[in-house]
Amino acid sequence: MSRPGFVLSVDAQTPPLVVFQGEKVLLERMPTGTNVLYPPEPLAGIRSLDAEIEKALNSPVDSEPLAALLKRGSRVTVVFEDLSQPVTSRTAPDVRQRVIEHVLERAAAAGVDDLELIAATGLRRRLTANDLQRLVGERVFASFYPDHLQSHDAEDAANLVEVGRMPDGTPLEVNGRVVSSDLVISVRLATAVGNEGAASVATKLAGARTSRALVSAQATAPGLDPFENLVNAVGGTAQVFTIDVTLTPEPTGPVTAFLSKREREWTLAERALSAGLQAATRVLPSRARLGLAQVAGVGFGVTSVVAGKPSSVHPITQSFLAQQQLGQVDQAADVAIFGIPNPGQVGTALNPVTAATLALGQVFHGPTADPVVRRGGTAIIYHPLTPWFHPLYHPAYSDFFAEVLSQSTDPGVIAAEYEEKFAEDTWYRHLYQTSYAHHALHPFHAWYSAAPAIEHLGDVIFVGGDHASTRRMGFKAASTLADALEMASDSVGLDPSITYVHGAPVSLSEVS
Amino acid sequence: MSELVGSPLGDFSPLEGQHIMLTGATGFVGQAILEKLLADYPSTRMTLLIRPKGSLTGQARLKSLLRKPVFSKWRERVGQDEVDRSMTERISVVESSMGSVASLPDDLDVLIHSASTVSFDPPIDEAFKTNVGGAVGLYEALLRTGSDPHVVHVSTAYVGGINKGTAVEASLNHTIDWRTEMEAAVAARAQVEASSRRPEVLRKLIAQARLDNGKVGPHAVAVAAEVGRSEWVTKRLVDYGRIRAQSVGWADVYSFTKSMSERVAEQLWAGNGHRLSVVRPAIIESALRHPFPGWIDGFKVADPLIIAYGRGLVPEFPGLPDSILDIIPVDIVVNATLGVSANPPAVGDPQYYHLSSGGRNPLTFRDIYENVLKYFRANPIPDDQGGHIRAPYWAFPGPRAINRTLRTGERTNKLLQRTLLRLPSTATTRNLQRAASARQSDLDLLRAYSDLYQNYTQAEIIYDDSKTAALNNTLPAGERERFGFDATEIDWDHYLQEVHFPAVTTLMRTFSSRPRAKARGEKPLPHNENAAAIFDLEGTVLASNVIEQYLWVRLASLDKSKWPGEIANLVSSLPRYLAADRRDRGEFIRTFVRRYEGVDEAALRELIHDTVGDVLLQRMRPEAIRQIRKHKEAGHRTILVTGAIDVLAEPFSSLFDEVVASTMHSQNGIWTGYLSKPPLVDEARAAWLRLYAEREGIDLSKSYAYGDSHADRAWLELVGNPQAVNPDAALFSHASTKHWRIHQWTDHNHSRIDTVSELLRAPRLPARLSAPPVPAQPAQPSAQNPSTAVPSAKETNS
Repeated sequence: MSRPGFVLSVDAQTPPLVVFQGEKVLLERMPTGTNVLYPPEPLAGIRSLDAEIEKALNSPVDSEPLAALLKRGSRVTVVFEDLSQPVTSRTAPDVRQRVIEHVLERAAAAGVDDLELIAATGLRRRLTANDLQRLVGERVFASFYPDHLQSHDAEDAANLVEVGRMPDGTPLEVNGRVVSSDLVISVRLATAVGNEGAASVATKLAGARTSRALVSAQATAPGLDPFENLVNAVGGTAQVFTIDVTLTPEPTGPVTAFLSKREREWTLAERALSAGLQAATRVLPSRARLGLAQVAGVGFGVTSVVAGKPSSVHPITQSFLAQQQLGQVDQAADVAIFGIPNPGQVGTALNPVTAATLALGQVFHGPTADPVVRRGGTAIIYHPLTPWFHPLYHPAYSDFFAEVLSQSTDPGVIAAEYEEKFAEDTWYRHLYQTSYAHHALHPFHAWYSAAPAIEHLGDVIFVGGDHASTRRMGFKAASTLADALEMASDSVGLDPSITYVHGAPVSLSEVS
Repeated sequence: MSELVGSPLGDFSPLEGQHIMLTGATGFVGQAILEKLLADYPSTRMTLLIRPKGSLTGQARLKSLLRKPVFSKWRERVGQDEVDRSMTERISVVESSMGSVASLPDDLDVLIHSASTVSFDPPIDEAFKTNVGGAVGLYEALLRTGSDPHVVHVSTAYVGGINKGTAVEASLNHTIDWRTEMEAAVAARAQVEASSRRPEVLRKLIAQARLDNGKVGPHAVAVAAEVGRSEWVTKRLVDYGRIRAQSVGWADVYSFTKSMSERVAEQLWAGNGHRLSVVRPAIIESALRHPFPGWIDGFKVADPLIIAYGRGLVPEFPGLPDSILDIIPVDIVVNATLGVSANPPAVGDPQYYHLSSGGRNPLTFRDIYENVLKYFRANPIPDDQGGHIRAPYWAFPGPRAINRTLRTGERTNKLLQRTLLRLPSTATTRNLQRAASARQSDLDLLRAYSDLYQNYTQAEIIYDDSKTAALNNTLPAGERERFGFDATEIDWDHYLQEVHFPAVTTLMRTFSSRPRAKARGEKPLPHNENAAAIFDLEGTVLASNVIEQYLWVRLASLDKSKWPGEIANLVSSLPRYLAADRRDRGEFIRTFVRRYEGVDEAALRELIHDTVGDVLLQRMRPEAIRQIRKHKEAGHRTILVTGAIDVLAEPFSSLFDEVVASTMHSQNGIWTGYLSKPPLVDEARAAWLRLYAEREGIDLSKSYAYGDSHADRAWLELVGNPQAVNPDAALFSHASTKHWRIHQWTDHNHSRIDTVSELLRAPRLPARLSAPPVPAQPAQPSAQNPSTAVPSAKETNS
């Protein structure tokens, strides 16, 4: 058992604490009395991952061993989730590659010819050849790409099959290859409670129309899950076998992992490194600083591998993650402070919409089960919110930011006035299907996902936030923490209770 | 003057019951004379010689003339009915131009000839035709009537020529024959026209036109060359005039022709036994008292300089501080002219009168400067920042020093502008360009003023006006207030500070306070099914160019070890390409596409589909995409027109309703390096667009076009809403002068380095771009995934 998470109360002796701010790493002195939430130290990663995978596949929960499910002549589809988060170390193979290789070995042994690999990307962008290669490894890539290794396409009407209806009558359309399979093997990653994804893998293999209806349905009736019946089988024949992998909630491994450690326990070398990092941050241009943040954010260890029937595996994963989770805070604070780094794996900075929704996602789906900040409280977030959009990945985001958010930030208005227009736009569709753009609905869903947090909070203040973009999203920008607290004092008073959530958020919030 | 209202004229009634003919009645002095006659000589009748202008008849011009401010006091006093009555009963109009005067009335008592050209530097033939030919036509027509009116010929004091000392009121002493000069002047036009067509001249004009407009296309070059030729002719004729005038002792062609016309009057009229008086006013400026203090009709000779000074544009001026600027208020000129009219000389003894102030009440250039400085320090002109412009101090360093400074300024500015045209266009260079062109117009203005006013501000001549003074003294003392013309009465400080400067600055303020075009906000585009939005690709929609596209394609297809060689090869050819592009867009494209020789088209398509297409998409400007979509929403037909090869335009094709691109000639699927037809650039694109619009029923006047280069000018000009996107220097200056919308669209801040690194990371697929020399290359299995097939570019329409 690893050391549990803990709450530090800042006093005069507390050293400056690490705060991520986009591509920068700051050392900030928190006000006295601030509660600092440190995550638990990571469980020791599994040493012999292959053996653990073996074990999970051979003795799954509530299911025959995988080898027995794979039959000669059967139609098998391997789907793997793309959480687009920093996954495992840069040097070791991706854990998904390891799992998939095991699965493929068994399939080959059983004589399965008809096998395809699909990235369950939902409305996210297609994975580039390069992404896929890194994810599944060179060997798998070479033998399956491009004909049998693809990303899900939510707009490919010819390849979507109706498997049911939603309460409002919208057809539930799911990837045709998955529905027509005899066996669907789902490889999933999970890092934190609330982040392990929906129970059914089909949510990430649905058509755009279905996804759109699903989001608006959940907005009107929370808790409703039309995919409930699609957990163990998708459609009539496709039985689902799931392999859930849990990860440590904090990066481990590389040199800069000390940034998530408790500052007063830093070794002399780590102190020196920190000073070096500070100096580098000061002198480097922001483009070069991206590299620093990449160094800072990688390396997650694998803590468990569980396979079997999805409905049985899901609760196990959930409780395992809960056990890893941080000790509860006694009560929600007036002010919560978060630092948001730009993750390295995506290769780029976060665009302001994603950064804001990711940060606000921490309010409800952060490292604690309950919101860390009380209703009407203030969230202070460290992120520059630079209006930067990836030309290939974010065309819809860029337009959403320029044309929609400049008119309204109200999700109701946005949904009524703009969603349809974006959803029907042929150019976005073209870019989503043939290039590597996120689906046009993606920014909408991201924005809707932040709505409960915005609703819950009194003020949202970005420290170091670009003034124009912060204001466009309806937030406030402060240049320092002291200013931010000054601004917050109108609603939370001059002596608020403050909680600083130490470290980086565990993953990008996945919204579709 | 109000005490005079309604007062009887008493026994002093000059020109009583006389019939007076007036030429140049629409001019500054002419309308003042007409007003004075109407207001203070109630028993006179007038015949006006008015030239029909456009569709306006002489009568119509009279009607609008009587609405001018000069008549406002009179109209107030007598009422509109009296104005209308006077117009029908007292005034008759003879429609005629100066060259061919129709029949004149034969009962004239006085003819006041005050028509002349207003320009100081007209081409020599025009100056002679108006000033000399006009007088000849008029006096010959007058001779034909057989009547014997007293002719008052309005000349100018500056017929005195380039002289020092005092000029007397007498016939000009020279032996120049106006007939010979007139013939030579008229013949000059034909000579210059002929010589402008000489190949040596035309060759230079074409070369200049090509330099400025070569990228726009051959037609634009031809148009510019012809415009250049006619400008050359005019300039040359102006030069003929100025130099001829100087060679015989006059400062400019204006005073030269005015002296010639005095001779005409002397010979044709006085010489035929008639009465002639010549009045020679100096610089006529705003009215001292009548019709109201400060009345002026537009800017006169000295006023642009005064205004320019007030606006801080004249840091120094080549005038002599002690030279006399001979200014005379218009009402003194009017009174003197009418006074002369009422006192005809004897036959054979023409009289000459200087209407000037310099003789007895001199105003030096330095006095003027001090007054102007005092005035503008007290009443500064507002600047565009909400502050005030500071009027500069002059040190009078002398004309040579000023000329030197001016010349240096002109040269450096020319150099700067030329350099800017060659630099890659950025926001900074565009700002510099704007500044340089503002500086250029300031310098041009200074140059023009310094040339123009040289004769006035460096004059060391004094016009004696003792005859005029004597004539004034014959007036009864009680009538001098109303009919007098004594230049010594003028208190210069009062006149300049209280009368003249307020008058001209008010005029200037009404001009400049016109509402400025406000910064245009983003209005939604009007919906119109018949409109089109035409976009250029490279540099407009795409922050990239043909060379860069080629490079991406090449690098993506080559093994990394061969990159340095390829890049070195491309770089070494760059100067050649750039030179070609500067000359002609089409030539550049033709030269450049030779590089695609031997490319396997199917493999290239696949390569673009797999990697390069995304690299190209990364270079798209987000604002461009938004603008295209806005046009689509407004129902406009969106068209991409590019000189690039169709395959390279494919990644963007679904954004547009129509894509028109170049195609490569291929043999067995292998490109030969030649285009299959001429590239659609510059004027070829304009011709295509014209035809396309006609065939498809597109209303070009309601359409939009977006281009970035001077080469796009020809087709941008065709539409009603041309827009320059991140324009190059030449297009920028064109767009600024034509008030086109100029967009500054930002690139994605995704650097080319990132693009390269993304290419580097892309897993290499076995795709060979170049075919091996040996044939029998099996066709590449293309588009393996049918769900992501590339939409193909549509057929071009031309």
